[in-house]
Amino acid sequence: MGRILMLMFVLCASKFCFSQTITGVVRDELGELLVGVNVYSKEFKLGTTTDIDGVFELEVTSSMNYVTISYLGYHESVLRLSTDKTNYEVVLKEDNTQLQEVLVFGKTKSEVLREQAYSVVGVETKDLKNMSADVNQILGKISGINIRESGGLGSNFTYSLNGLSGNQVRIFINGIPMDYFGSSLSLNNFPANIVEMIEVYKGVVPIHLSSDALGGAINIITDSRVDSFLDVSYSVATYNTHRFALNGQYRNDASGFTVRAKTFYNYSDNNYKVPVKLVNPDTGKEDEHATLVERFHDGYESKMFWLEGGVTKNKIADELMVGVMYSDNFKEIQQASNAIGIAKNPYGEVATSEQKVITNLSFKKNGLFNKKINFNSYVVAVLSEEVSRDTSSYRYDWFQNKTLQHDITVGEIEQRKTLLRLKKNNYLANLNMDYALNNYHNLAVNYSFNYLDLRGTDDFKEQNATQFKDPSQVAKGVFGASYSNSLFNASFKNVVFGKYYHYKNSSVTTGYSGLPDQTSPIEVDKSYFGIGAASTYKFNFLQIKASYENAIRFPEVFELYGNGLEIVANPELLPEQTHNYNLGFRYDKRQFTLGLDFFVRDIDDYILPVIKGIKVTYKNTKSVLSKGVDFSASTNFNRKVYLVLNGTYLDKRDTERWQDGIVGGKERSTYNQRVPNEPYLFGNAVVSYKGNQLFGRNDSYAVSFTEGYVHEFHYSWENQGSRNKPIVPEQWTSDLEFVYSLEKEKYNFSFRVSNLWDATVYDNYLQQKPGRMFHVKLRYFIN
Amino acid sequence: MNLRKLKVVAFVATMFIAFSCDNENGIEGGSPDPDKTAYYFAAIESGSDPAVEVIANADNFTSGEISPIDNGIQQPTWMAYYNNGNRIISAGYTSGPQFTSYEVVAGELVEVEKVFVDLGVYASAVVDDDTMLFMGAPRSGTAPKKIYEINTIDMTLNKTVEVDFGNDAIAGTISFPVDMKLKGDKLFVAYYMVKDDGSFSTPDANQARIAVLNYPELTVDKIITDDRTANLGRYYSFNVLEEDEKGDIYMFSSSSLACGFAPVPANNSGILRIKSGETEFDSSYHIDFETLSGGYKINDLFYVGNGKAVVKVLKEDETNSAYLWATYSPNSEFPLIEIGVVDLYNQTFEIVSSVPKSGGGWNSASFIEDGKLHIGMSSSSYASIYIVDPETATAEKGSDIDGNYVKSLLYIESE
Repeated sequence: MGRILMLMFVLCASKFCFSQTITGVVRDELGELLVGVNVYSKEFKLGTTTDIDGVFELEVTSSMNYVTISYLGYHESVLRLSTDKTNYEVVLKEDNTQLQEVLVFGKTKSEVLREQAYSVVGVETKDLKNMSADVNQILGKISGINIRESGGLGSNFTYSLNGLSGNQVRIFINGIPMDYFGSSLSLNNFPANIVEMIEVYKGVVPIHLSSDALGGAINIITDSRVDSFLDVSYSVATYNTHRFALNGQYRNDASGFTVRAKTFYNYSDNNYKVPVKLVNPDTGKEDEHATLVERFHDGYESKMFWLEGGVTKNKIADELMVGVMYSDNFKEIQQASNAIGIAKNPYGEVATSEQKVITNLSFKKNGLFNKKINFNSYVVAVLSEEVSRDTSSYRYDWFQNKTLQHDITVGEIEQRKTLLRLKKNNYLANLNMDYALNNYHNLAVNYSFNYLDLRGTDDFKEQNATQFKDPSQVAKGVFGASYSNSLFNASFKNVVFGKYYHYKNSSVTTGYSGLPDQTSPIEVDKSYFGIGAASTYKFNFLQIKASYENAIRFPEVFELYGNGLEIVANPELLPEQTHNYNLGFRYDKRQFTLGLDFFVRDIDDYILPVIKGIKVTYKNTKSVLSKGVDFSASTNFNRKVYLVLNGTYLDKRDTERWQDGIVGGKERSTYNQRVPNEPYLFGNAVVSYKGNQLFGRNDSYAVSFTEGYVHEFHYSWENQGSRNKPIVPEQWTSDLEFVYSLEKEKYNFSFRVSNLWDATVYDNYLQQKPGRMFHVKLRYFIN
Repeated sequence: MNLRKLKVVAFVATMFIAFSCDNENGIEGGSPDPDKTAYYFAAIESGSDPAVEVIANADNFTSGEISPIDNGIQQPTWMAYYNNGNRIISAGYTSGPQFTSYEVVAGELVEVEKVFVDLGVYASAVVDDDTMLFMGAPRSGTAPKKIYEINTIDMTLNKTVEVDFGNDAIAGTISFPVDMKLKGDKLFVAYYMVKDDGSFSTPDANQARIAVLNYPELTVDKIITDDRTANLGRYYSFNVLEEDEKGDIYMFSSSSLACGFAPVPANNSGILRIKSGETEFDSSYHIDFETLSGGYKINDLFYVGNGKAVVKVLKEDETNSAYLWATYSPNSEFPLIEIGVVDLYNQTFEIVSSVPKSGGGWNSASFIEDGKLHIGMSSSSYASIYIVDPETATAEKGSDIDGNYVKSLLYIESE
């Protein structure tokens, strides 16, 4: 016996020296990759699970003859190992006797999302956290989304999602509408490493997302891991751009006591150079050649600190947290936002700032009453103070020379100064309950309420002083109820819902000089009823989705009340209404996925920023019909090389035929024309390579190259005139990124070059954006 | 849309205009040169949200439709258009206050040169075919105005001169130009008084006022006033100082809420004269227009010939604040403007009833050919050119406009 043991030991020892790493991929019978599958050897007590791509990696010895592959909802399988093979493919058979919920267990969250009836894309940011990108840049790679930024860090940006843009696309953080967090906290500065997942709903939006989105919703889900962790990152980039983010959680496993802290700090000078044909003030002639001048007044700074405490995953609640958040920002404004191209005269002191204190309480409890009811609610109070400042008596040129104006009462934007101090108190509440009738049928109700009062002072501009002297009140309420089912072994899912909207605004309208005779009180009180339905059917490798919603969008605060500077208040705005239709196909086989989504958005009372000179007022304008298609394809080779291709074509037209809506009267010359100043053909391609053991055994790395394309577009009506049509030219941009991680992603490093070839890129009205930028990011993560 | 809203819209729109337009100087009457070809253009505000303007080619102003669709040179919004010599000049804000000149080359209108200034301009005068004067004015505060003398051949600034007249710091009112006319060595600047807070209210408007400047020095000679009527012109009008064949200048006051005067001056809308060679109002000449016409007020006046002028006129309820700025609404559902003919010599007035009412606008689109005035008229239900014959006080419909309204009628004669 002793000998035998001895022999075995020797054998094992010798064979240990010849241990090797095997890899494999696990799929179901439909070729769908399975994530979280257990791969283990009972005998040798070692094992692993498959990753997000269904891949496992296991160090085995040659004495190991087989490993067991098991996965909830599937029949267990045994994989025989052979010494001359290191790469395996495993197909697990579904065990239909198990409950269907179990089937989705182990899928990635984004896969679960994708299989909902809604047209939705989920982006898990696990792989993205090490990148220096912010959330905006990640979103820009999703088909159908186009992001338009007017400059660098902190600059204004809007999303276009299937042809709806700006506020027609609602953005949420953990289900709470993001605009209430103010401009201190936006996707443009939101660091990727405090994000767990991003859900992008195209068109029809589920009722739990406070429900007044018109063109879709983006929901950012921040990390809510149930363990303790710390995630710290710092990145530095061209133009003195610095970003620091810290995200940490402590959780006591026994009691469930949890404390979370999230904080970030962003700073950038955004002082990139732009070409401007300077004007000689004596002759009035502009130079023949452009001079490169620095954007010297475009800086941005923001910070946020958010502390939450409570319990998670214990007997009382899945989550019961109370939090306090402080955030502020400061932003310099370099030029008129609606000037064509680079303004001849820059601003030198115009700026906005904001401070907010937010208190939040959230409560989540699943599985109440015999596991039938899930309950989810939050209450948020947002107290903020905003300042819009245009008080300089100087006029600046592009070399920062300043001359005192003859009349010191004028400002830089217009011929009067502005110092608006606005106080906003905003209270939000949301209550969501769903009730599982059984495993296949579900009822849900949601009520959200939002109350805002704002008032302010302006020592200079009477228009603002009058507009904000007495508090304005905006109340918005949405009640939604839905029924959803899941039939034929979860291959056929449906949801129908109804929503009741209530919108109320009491305020005043006033004129340029805020005089009493220009001022009158207004009261808007409107109710709407909307319905929607969504279905999905999945067979073999193909999934089909169809959805419809008659949706309402309430005007945003800044659409209603402007910023006191170039955006002029219009409290009389009414909600926008749309019929929105979606039909999507998704083919998903082995390493290859293909998505095609068709959509139609038929909008009334379209809210548009109407530009007069350098001023903007948001107005309900007309009917717009947007039709289009999104395309996405991705594949990979040996899980080393990844290819992603996205594209969108949009046909968005003005469908208001008659002047002032008088049927049979005067036909508008822009009837049926493409809505200008919006890109309508755009896409991107990403090639990436993932590898490991570059310098050591425990490291991994990825290199990715992204090419973005925006087709040329008119920024005024295309059919008007035959010459001198203002066009934003076709744009190609390339980004290159290298990410390197050590010790299971405890230490991470990334280097990125954005706009690699230093292409000239524009957005609004030919206003130029930054050229090539270098970014370095360091991240430390401990679990 | 109720009148109150209409007023607000008109008011807001008014406030954001950066530039002004002159009447189409230098195209007074006469027949075209037989060696040259006549080119007609209409500057049209052709789309809304975003608004867009086009200098569209037109065969004529008398028939058919003038359409900016795939026709003409697209312009940014809120431009003003001037005709001088064989040139069209468009002015407005792009990357800064800018003037762009266009000429006909090989039968086609092409962009030629650009010049930039530093203030929005609100009045202009023609010096000769190659030179124009523009007056830049602050919209509030007591800073001086500026006169830009622009060489329109190569679009350069000959000079920029600061001028300061008429502001009343104690009363808190400032002078705001409405038209300029150069006569020999005198530059007449008609202006009205507005509150210095940018509100454009008119607490001190019950008097006609003109600043007389020396040319070419552009120094202020004197201010002349007349108590028989109210402030001359109206915001952005520029058809205020009209010259007849004798070289006399006729001018109007609107005294109208709908033309932007609030409070409404006590004196009636009227017409005054400065005789040729004089630099004072002619004390022997005054038309009390409201009395003459039975309650109409003048919105704009175009001298055509033989002592006859075509006027845009309106009636209003001075006590109803909803009328404020109501003639600045080219696509109004409640248009106020009618067309009439006034005989300046015989002091008679006749309404031309065949022209539908117009919502008005800023400067008028007007053009004189063969002793007839072509004028742009529009409301929520139409936009057209009407051709008014002052001799018969009749009008016929000319070209239709495909667009919101016509901003300017432009004309070039070229080989």
